[in-house]
Amino acid sequence: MIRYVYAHELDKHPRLVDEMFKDRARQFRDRMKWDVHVDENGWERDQYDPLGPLYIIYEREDGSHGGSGRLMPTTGRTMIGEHFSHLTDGVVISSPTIWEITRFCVSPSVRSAREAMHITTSLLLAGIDAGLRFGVEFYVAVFDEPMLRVYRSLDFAPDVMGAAGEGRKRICAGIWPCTEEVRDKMARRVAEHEQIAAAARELEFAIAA
Amino acid sequence: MSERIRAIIERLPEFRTVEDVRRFADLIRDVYDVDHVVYVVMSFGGDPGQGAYEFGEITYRAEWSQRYLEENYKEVDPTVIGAVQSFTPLDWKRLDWSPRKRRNLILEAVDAGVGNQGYTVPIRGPNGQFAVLTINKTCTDAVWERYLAETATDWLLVANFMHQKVLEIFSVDEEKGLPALSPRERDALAMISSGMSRSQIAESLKISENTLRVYLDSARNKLGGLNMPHAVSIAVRTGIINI
Repeated sequence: MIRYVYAHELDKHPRLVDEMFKDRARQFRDRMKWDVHVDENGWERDQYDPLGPLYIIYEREDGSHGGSGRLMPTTGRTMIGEHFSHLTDGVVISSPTIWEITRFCVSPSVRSAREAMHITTSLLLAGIDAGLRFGVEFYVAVFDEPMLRVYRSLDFAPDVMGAAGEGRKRICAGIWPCTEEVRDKMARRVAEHEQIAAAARELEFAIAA
Repeated sequence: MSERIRAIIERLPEFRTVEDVRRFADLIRDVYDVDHVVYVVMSFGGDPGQGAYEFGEITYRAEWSQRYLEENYKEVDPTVIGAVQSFTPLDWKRLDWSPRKRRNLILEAVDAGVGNQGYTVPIRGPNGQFAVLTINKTCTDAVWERYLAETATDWLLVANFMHQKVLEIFSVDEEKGLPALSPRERDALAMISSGMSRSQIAESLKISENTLRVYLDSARNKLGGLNMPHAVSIAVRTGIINI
């Protein structure tokens, strides 16, 4: 199932969160060889995690972390603006109706390609559902190039603004329109789309508890 | 762009003074057919506010605003606590009103003429700037749900316009000088100002139309432009582009 978790509520989901930050280390440091910081707990956390982002987390039936992503508004600090503006012609993207998605990952513990695809699709749909709920018009993200094939196979190909790097380290910056049409297309691929839509509607319920 | 947003943008240039912020709030109330509009700056940046509001315009009855301040309700109010915790807008209906103090607060507020449905949009700027725009409206859950679905994008924009307007009136951004635009943003703005169509511009810059839209929107936002013509006029006036 999909869970939307605000930064200030992370401590309510200790297992999911522990696995999320560890899986991020495995994904971004070990697999993609990005130069990221991993702390003494084995957690990959960066300078954006303390800025109050919204996490989308896929929880598997056994309660483990299946995958996750992180949403932030582009009117504040963003990874694409601070580290990857060479992929966007030097433009620092900033608009109240454009959000950034970062640290998108599927847990390396997910063995079957089928399940990995399901988790990816569910997370993307959850991002679109949350965006629509709040009136977001576009998402921007930086991703490694092989993901482009995955997005294409899901009929969810972004417009690529720019790309850089060679081989396994090649990365792209993309934009996706956040529309009902995209939502419906993705929802057809996810059996639990109603659970995701309901979670997006209920989104801030745990706030200020 | 919605008709309502257009109606807001057309009137924005006439708001120039601190007193005009109230007229802006009234305009939002009328155009969007809501009961009340609240815009509060918690912090203009730098010093993190010390818990006092730095500036606010509120269409509530004065007695209610007074009572809210005297009772220090912001310590109890989940819309305020929520806005501090999250960057996403807050639908009041989705907040936790179960604690007794919060229940009493909303009952008392509705008694004082505050709408039973509300939406609070947090606004964050560089250097710790933090403000919120809140609207509320008396209606059923079903009407409210449709209303929000229709206006969600508008609220992101209106909140941002209000905030930029107030920064402009208080000259908060002045010492920062001109915003840094990349050569690409300047090219795109100059092409727009020359009357080229978006598809022509996208083609000549060899980027997709969505990419162009994101670049132009970023340039508009950084310039404090309300729409593209306004952004272009600011860019021309400040010498960012030459035509």
